[in-house]
Amino acid sequence: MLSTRDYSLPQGLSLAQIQKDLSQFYTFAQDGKNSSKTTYFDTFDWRLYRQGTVLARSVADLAILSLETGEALVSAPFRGEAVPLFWWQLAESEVRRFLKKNIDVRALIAVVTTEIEHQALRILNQDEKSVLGLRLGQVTSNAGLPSQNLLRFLRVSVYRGYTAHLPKFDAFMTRAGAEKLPCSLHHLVLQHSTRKPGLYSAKFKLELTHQMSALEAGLAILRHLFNIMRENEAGIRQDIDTEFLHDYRVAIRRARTALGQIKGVLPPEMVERLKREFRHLSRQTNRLRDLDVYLLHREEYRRLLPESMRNGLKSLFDRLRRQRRTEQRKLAAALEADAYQRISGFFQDCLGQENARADLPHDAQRPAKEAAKLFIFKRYKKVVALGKKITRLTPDSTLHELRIECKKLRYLLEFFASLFSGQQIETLIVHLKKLQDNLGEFNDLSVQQKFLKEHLCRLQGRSSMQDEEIVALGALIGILYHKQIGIRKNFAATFRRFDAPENQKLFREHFK
Amino acid sequence: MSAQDKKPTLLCDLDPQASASFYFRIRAARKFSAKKFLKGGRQIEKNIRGTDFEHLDLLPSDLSFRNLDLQLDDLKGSRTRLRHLLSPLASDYEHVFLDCPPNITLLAENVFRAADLILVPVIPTTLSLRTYVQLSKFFKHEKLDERKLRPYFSMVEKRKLMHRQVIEKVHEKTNIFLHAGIPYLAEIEKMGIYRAPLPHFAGGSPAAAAFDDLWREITGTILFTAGRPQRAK
Repeated sequence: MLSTRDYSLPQGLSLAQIQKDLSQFYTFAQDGKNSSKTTYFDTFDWRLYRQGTVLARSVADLAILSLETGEALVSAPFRGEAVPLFWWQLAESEVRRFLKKNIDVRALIAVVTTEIEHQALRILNQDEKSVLGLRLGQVTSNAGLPSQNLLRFLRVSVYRGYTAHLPKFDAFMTRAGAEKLPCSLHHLVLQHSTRKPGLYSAKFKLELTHQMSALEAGLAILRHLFNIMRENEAGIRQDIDTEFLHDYRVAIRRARTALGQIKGVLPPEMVERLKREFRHLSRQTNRLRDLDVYLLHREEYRRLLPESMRNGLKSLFDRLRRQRRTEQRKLAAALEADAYQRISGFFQDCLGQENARADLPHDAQRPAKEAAKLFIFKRYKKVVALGKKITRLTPDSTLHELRIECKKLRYLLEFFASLFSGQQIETLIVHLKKLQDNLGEFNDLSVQQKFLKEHLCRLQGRSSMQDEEIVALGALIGILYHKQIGIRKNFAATFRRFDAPENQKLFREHFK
Repeated sequence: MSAQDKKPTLLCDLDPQASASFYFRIRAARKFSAKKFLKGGRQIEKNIRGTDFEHLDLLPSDLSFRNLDLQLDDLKGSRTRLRHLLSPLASDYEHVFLDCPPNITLLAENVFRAADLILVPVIPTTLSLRTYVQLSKFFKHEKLDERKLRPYFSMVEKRKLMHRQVIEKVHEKTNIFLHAGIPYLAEIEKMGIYRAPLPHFAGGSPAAAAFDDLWREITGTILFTAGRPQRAK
């Protein structure tokens, strides 16, 4: 059997009717009824959907399906009770490999479950050889589909070498009022689920209009970030995967940058209060995020050490895991607490009201694009001035300062990207990102060494600490230090590339 | 059974009597012929048909295949032609079966050179056995790899003394013959009536079990040959 074609059926058309109408040309073989249940999965941020795929679980297997063609790209038998959350929990297979490549640390979440009742029929030629297979499907129960929107579809499969029979059948279907499905059945089902596919993204995507004032733009940006925070709360409370907290914190970071950089636009009292609350939230989530990150580093740390030393890391990670459990529970409780509900309420209120304010600062009504240019160019100049100063002898703290300035610039570029011509902004962001990657890695390594050193110091002298742990931690710190030096060496060239004349020209053209 | 193991399988009917095609209710397209078959490539591809059974395709034959020998003779590399024709199929199918007429001709020589395994059904009588010995000698003479041969006893009637004696003697003297044998059973002939493979209409029968045992024994030997896609007569 090779190619298939899907049609949506008008309500009145049944398989019996099709059989009756075609019986002047063909004979038929009934293949009976059965029903199948399929559950579709993807990550919270639709990583599979963005690749044009979805994970489908049927009674005996897991398959990655193409949303366009409906065909399985890879599949593997699976008989477990529940689909595991993470790729590493699956047995070795092509599906596991596909997931490892595409969803990384994110968990799989069930999007929608469908139950389809099938009725199958085969169309036979004069030798009673099957030439076409027909399968009528009725999507009967579904977690996401509203019940009145039942999907009825017909799938036609052509046996290899018998494609000549398809045009006649196609013409018949068209006359009967059936339409070819606009996309694969799976895609159609996903589009009917309660959470719209592809909508949530970790990237900052906001369309601002040229008519907006700086105030309107600022509020739109903050509102967008606040919504992202809200969307991730449930995932943090339920501890589905580490990225909910990550996205939540990035949204807060962006919001704090917005509050700090979009100056003279938002009412100052509001800005102060929001800054305070965001700072508080940030602090509440620091510890858990740190622990998540270190636990994610576990494999890497083990690989950096010679095999004989790896066992020394075991008690460190056991301790980290225990602490993580505690922190997660604390944070989940904090997110459910009344205090948090009040803060959320406050955000919603003050971000909701528009221009009905008495205390608007002088730049509030300035056109958004004009204000954006000012903010961005000022930040850009700071980045360049700071970067130029850095030599081999400059203390590490200056690089950390530059990293923070770069982050502010990047966020500003992303906030206002929709107001400038897309492609060139993208290019600037890409170059800035390379510089940020270098500085970011440098900072990460610095933080990691500090953490490990503190850990070492705190536990030295304690009877519970073994020699092998001390040795392993010491070796690891040394390796990370060495890595950091290498990264610092790359800084000069990386900054030069960012500060290249073409980029300077672009920045001046757009933002001066 | 290869298809039942979920391995993509092609059955290539090389017999002008087209029994295999008949069993599967597949006719060759009117335009298909031995000449087109020997052209290979697209000609073969577009004439392959999907059987009613998952993972099993069939390339039907046609009365013009009675001329295959003559046509092969006209071509260069006449003894390895078939191997070249079939090699592109290796990427689509895990097993390709060639159903050949039971004689030693130029077509057969092509098959001997193209196939990785050659299944030879032998009725346990002196005459049949003698034919097999001829085949074996032919292989030696042509310097073909005798290890490809997988003879097995077919149409065995345990009631007949000659059958029992032949089988016993052969297994005593040599272990070339497979241990599984196919008994003479009415069920098997019924494929012509039902026009479907045995497991489809008589899955639980002793006949089906006999073929199953034979298949398991053959696939057991496949595991020990090199990892190329397998072709068996």
